[in-house]
Formats: sequence, structure tokens, C-alpha cells
Amino acid sequence: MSLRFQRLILILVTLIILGAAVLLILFNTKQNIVFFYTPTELIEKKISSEKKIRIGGYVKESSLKKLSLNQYEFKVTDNSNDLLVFYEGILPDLFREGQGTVIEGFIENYNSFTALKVYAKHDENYMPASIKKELEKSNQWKKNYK
Amino acid sequence: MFGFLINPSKFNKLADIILRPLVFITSIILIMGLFLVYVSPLDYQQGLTVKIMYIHVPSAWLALLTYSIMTFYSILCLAFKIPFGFIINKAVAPIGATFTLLCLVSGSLWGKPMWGTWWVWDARLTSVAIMFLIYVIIIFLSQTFENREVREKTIAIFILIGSINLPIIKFSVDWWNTLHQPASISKLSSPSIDVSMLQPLIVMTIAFSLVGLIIAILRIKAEIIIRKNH
Amino acid sequence: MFFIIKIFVFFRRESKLFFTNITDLFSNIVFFFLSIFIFVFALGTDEQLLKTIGVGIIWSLLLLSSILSLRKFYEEDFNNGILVIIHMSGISYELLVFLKIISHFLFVQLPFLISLPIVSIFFNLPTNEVYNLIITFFIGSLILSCLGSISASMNLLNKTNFSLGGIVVLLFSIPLIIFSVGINNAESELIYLINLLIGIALIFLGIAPWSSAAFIKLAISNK
Repeated sequence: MSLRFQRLILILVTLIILGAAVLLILFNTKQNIVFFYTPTELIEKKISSEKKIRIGGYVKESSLKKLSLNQYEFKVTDNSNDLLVFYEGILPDLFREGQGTVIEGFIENYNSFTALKVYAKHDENYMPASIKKELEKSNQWKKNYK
Repeated sequence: MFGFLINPSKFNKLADIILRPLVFITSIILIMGLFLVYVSPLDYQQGLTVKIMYIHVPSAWLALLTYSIMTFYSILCLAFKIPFGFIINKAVAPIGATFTLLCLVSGSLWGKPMWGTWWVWDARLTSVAIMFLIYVIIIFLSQTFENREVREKTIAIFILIGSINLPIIKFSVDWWNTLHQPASISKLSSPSIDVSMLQPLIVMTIAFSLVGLIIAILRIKAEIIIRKNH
Repeated sequence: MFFIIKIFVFFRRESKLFFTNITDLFSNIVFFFLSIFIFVFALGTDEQLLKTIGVGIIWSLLLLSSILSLRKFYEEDFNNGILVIIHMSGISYELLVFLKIISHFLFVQLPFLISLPIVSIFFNLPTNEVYNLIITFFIGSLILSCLGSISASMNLLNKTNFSLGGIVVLLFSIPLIIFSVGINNAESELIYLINLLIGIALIFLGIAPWSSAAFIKLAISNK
């Protein structure tokens, strides 16, 4: 086999290999690299309670209760399922009702959770505070969950 | 017309003409940008902390842009044997590393008050940290080999291998659940950021790019002289 | 037909080299075991702790001990001119690199498979995790061979900065480590992660021949 022919075959093989690799990766990453699970996924997948996991979602409106000085209880929702969360510690600044959050900890029962660490997740929307007030005045402010 | 992009002497000529006006324009735009940032409104959620965005986003954007330029020139100089690409690669790598570091540090300072942590191992943060390491290795490589041709070509090939990381950084927030929020400005949809905050962001991005460009021009001129003397 | 004989001769030479240098392999495996012991004593012999972090430690030490054998990848053949001779006999550098990767995978990485079950006894790993470890190592060692080829060929003419070769391998093995350790934490999604690892292996298998061949050509023309 001449070197030129070898190289031609090798180019073809490389292209096939890379194409297969891209297909494999694109079809399989979606489920894998998760920083957090949503409450629905938690119920669907029956994730075991021994391991430390992260749950992401929105803090449900009017569910945040202050139990004592720095003990909190709130619900994390993804609009279809809720999860009751207990947390002892300092909440980040951005943590408030209706805002996205990621919590890390252990599942207690099938729908309650003890958080060891709470992260606030902010979305890609930026807006001046004054405009938000005006929108609220004219009833055009709609916080839509993703 | 675009000869200055591949020809050192044409580049030198053009650089000598535009450098002074460029410094002048850059300082005006930078001051304007800083002023716009100063008067820009506070965010409805984040308050004052949102102003870190005006450093974080331009430096992140420039870190990616620098790597893309290096990738482009690596292809150019390996495929078409244009030696100017090697000069650019060596001159531009430390600038990219600086912007990446600036992006990581400002992001970390932003993350502490907003997310409640300096650092999390999510896909976006990790891939940017890997890009910083790639930049550092490129700088190491440019000090390593004795033979100039070996050194330059090795750097170019390494840059090409490392460019796998670029799409991972760009799309990590769309493909996977991350703590980092998705991009606010994309081509396909209208930006989800208010105009009064978009303006200072764009001006700051232009200012940062111009600062990077000035440093790059100075470094490339120095590299051309070094290469001539060897 | 003639071409297949050439490849066969190549592998026969590699296997002969393997059996003459078999002490190298044993010293690598001994290094691996010793570093495992040192890790265990440094952390304390708490059984529960070792069970949870065992897979991660095994993987990172496998990575480190595979870096040890890196310099042998091309250097001898490069210095005594065998690479050029093989090329003259009608095998392109890209194919040569590919064959070299396969032989490294067979003769250097795969023998580590024997040590894995023994090591997992020290960590009291459950059997299904041992199976996962062996499957991931089978795919992951192919990735390590590709990375080793890239880094070894890159450093053929590097006479000063020896740690650079190790740094390059470690840098590109980050995705491998993420997914191969993640495999043992996943719940019932094993097949996805294995597909993903195969995908990464294929990517590096596609890149490695071209980049290594470019580095080797560069080194030979500037020797």
C-alpha cells in the first residue's frame, strides 16, 4: 500500500471515528453531567438516601419559615413536585421566595430533605429595580418559572 | 487589504500608524464605560453586586476570543506555513491567561454573595478553569524547547488539541444543569437584559477588547523584533 | 497481504521487547501497590471511609503510575532510529502511531487489570463496583494510551522540562476521571456513562495519530 493511499484510508477512518464519538457524546451527556436533580427526577429515579445529592428548583412562594435564629424550613418546587427542606445555617443574599436555588444534603423520607449547604441560583434576566416596580404597578410583572 | 493579518512588516507599518490614536480612543471609551457603569441602575434581584458583571462578562468573552484567534492562527500557520501565526500565538497567550484569571477571580467574588460559595464544581466553572490551565501550559511550552521551529509548531498543535474545550465552555450551560446561569446575550433571541444595563456592558466589552488589542500590538511588535534578531 | 505481514512483524517485535523489559512492568505495578498502601496509611484504615473514596484513589493512582512509563513510549525507538526504519518500510507515521498506541494498550496498560481485583480487596469494595472499575479501566486505559502517545511524542526533543509530559496527560485525563469515577456513583445509568467513555476514547483515538505523527515528524526533521 502506498503512503498516499494509507493516509487517505486513515483520514476516512478518523472521520468515521470522530463522527461516532460526537454522536455517542451528544446522545449520552444529557443525562449524565448533572450538577443537581429536580424534585421530579428525584421521585422518578428513586435515588437512594445514603448518598449526598444536590436538588435544584425554585423556592415555593410563601413556604419559607424561620424556625429559630438560623434554622429554616422551605419547599423547593419545579412546578410539578415539591420537596420539604430543613436547613440550619446562613442563607445567601439572593435566597428568597420565587428565586432559583440548589441545595445539597440528604433525603430523609420520600419528600423531605435535610440541607447541609444552600446555593442561590440566579437566572439570566437582569433588570433595573425601578422598572420592576413600574411593571408591578401596571400588573404586567409575571414571574414565570422555567 | 488584509495583508497585515499575515505579514509582519505590513503589520508593523499599520501598528505604527494606529497605535497612538488607538490609545487615545481606548482611554476615552474606557472612561466612558466606567462612568456608564457608575450610573447604571441596580438590579431588581442582585442590587449593587450586579456591577461585577461589567468586568466578569467582558473578560470571559475576551478569554474565549483570544483562544479562538490562537486556534485560527494555528490552523493558518500549520496548513499554509505562515510564520506570523507563531508570533501571534506566543504574544497573545499571556493576555488570554490574564483575562481568564480575571474572569475566574471576578466570578468567584460574584459567586460568594450571590450563590453563597466561592467555587462549585459545575460544568461551566470547571471548563473555564481547564482553559486557564491550557493557557498556562502554552506559556510553559513557549519557554521549553531549544529549537525554535519545534517550539512553535508544538505550541500550534497543542492549541489545536486544546480547542476541544471551546465548545464545551460555550455550551456547558445549555447542555447540562449548572449553577451558572445561561448566557444573557445570544444571537438567536432578544437579550434578556435590560437596555439600561446592556449599554454599559457593551461599552465595557469594547473597552476591554481595545485594551487587549493595544497590549497584543505591543507584544507582537516585540516578538517580531526578537524573531528578527535570532 | 504483504502489508499485513509488516504489521504482524511490528507486533512480534513489540511483544519481544515486552518480554525482555518485563521488569519495567513489574516495577510499575509495585509502584501502584506501594502508593495505594501509602495512601491507606496516610488516611487511616477506617473501613467505611476507604469504601467511599476507594474508587477515586485507585483511579488517580492508576493515572500517576501510567505516567511513569511515559518516557519509554517513543524515546528508545526514536533515539536508535527504529521509527525512521519502520517508516521507510512503507508504514506512514500516522499508522505507526496507531499501532504503537494499540501495543501500549495491550502490553503496558492491560496487565494492570490483574492488579485491580487485588487492590479492591484492600478497600473492601462491593463486587459490582469492582466490575464497573474493570470495565471503565478497560476503556479508560485506551484513553490513557492515546494521551501518553500525544505527550511522549510532544516531549521527544524536550531536554529540560520533564514534568511537562505528565502535566499534559493529567490535563487531558480530567474528563476521563470525571466520568470513570462518576460511573460508580450513578444509579442504574451505567450504559450511558460507558457510551460516554467510549465516545471520549474514540475522540482521542481520532486525534492522537495525527497530532503524534506531526510531533514525531517535527522531532525527526530537527534531530
